[in-house]
Amino acid sequence: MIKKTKIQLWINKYRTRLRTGALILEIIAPFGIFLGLSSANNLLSVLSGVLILTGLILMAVIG
Amino acid sequence: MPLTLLNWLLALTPVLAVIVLMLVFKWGGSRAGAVSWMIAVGIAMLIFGAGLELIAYAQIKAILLSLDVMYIIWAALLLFNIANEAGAIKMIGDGLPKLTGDRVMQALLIGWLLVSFLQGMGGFGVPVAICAPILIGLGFGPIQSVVMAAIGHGWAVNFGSLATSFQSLMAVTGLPGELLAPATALLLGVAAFPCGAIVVYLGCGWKGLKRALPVVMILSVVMGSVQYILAVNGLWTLGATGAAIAGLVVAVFLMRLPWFKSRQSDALSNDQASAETGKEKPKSFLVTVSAYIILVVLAFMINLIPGLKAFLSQVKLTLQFPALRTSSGWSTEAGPGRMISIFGHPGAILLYTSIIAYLIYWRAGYLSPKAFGGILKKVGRGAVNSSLGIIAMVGLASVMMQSGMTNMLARGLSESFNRNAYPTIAPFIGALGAFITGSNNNSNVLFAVMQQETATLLNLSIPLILAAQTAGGSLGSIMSPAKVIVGCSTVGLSEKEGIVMRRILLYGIIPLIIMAVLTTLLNLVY
Repeated sequence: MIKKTKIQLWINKYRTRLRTGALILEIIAPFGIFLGLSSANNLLSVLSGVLILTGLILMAVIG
Repeated sequence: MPLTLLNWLLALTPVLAVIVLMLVFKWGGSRAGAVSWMIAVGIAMLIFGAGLELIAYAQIKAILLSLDVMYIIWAALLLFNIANEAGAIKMIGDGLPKLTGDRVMQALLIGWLLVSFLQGMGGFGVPVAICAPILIGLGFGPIQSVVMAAIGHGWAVNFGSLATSFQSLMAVTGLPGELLAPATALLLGVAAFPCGAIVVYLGCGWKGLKRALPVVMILSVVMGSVQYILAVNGLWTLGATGAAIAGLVVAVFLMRLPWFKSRQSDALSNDQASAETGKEKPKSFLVTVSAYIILVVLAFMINLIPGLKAFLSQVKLTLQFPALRTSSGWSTEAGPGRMISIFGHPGAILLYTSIIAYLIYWRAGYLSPKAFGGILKKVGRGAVNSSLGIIAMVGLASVMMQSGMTNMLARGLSESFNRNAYPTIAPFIGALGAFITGSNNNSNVLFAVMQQETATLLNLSIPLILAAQTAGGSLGSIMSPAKVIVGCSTVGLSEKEGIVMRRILLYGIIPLIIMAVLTTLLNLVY
């Protein structure tokens, strides 16, 4: 419970920065996927996909 | 993929998730959109047979569509905040009520015309947040003021905010604006009348409405016609702005008529109030509102001079996509994604205007040297939230489209309603989308393709059904919890959003019903 409150406080403190980070991830990462898929670079595609998912999880968590 | 009730309900699940998360759990658009996107991806992969590659391409297509819309939102917010910082919004808000002491005309000027003008320029809930306090200053009640300002700009949302919503409609359906504009402008032009009439009724009762009816009629015809002419000639970015300016000019002329001129007593209090605050160095009206004059001139120039438009449209951002197919058989053809003209985009026009306006205000001494940082902060605060919401909703809509879920919904609807009944419900679908997501724009992203496909399956006029979608979205967005919260924020009604929303729903449904009847009638002609 204490841990959860600490996390919530941290999220509240950095909410704007976290949102901005999520936005940057969501804008840039799809282009990474595109580059990865076009050049058959699986690592780049997977990495970019993970970044998109991270951004979405951030959006879902921070609101 | 066979059309069964279970499959149809599964396709509907992500949309239902948005509704439940936003209305029941009161989540914001970005959060609800992100969770619903994950649900959509799960259903698309497990039930509709979408592969990882298809999901990845769907997200890349979504970001191109989102960038197209976000370009306008960021630039519109920049211009709005520069003009606001220079005192343009305050000057317009202070000056207009002084033109008349007649309450009916004051209600119309602020609660219908000014709020629509601001919607044309900025939107995103800001017009209500600005106009409601002005109405309170004129003696209207707080709840009454918010409801008046909200209903008053319902007709202007689609072609407002530099036509962001209309731009999305074009982007997601792939249809040209020239095809979609006539029916959309017609429906929204007609909607201007009930919006104005409701504003007068709320502010001045039946007696006021009876007296104001001819004025509301004249102004509706003027604004509806100007919006139609601008929209069908490719100037949809200025549709609401041009219409509201024309309405304001005609209203000022009408106020000179003896019918309204004899009721000037109340205007005195405004003059006294401005005299008390008039110790600052007076600002030139022309310089203060120059941002909007420049915008109108630039938008007309870029849209009407073919050579200039062609020159600015040389640099375009787009990506080429391969053909995609789900294991259940739904396929999407290969082709380019949304094309974004970097220098000829409506967002670019707003950006040029913002730079010129900033330099003018800075030279005139209307902006302090430190103002730039503050403006950027305000833009960032407003734009990040709405951008996240757009990316999430567009991502959700893109996954649904590419995996065949939207088509499944459309097929279900086309089999449930016949071609005579569907035009009646089309505006309500648009309104529902806007109510859920808080934006006409997001409603178009979420439902426009579904409406397009349903219209195709039922052999209905696609431009008419899409016009009903976006017009419904325009009128539905004013009732959305997200916008009501913004509207209530500046008038101390933060605890009473529920009461305000109930009243907006009660009156906001009237133009929507008129829209449904009109779409049904137009269906007989189209």
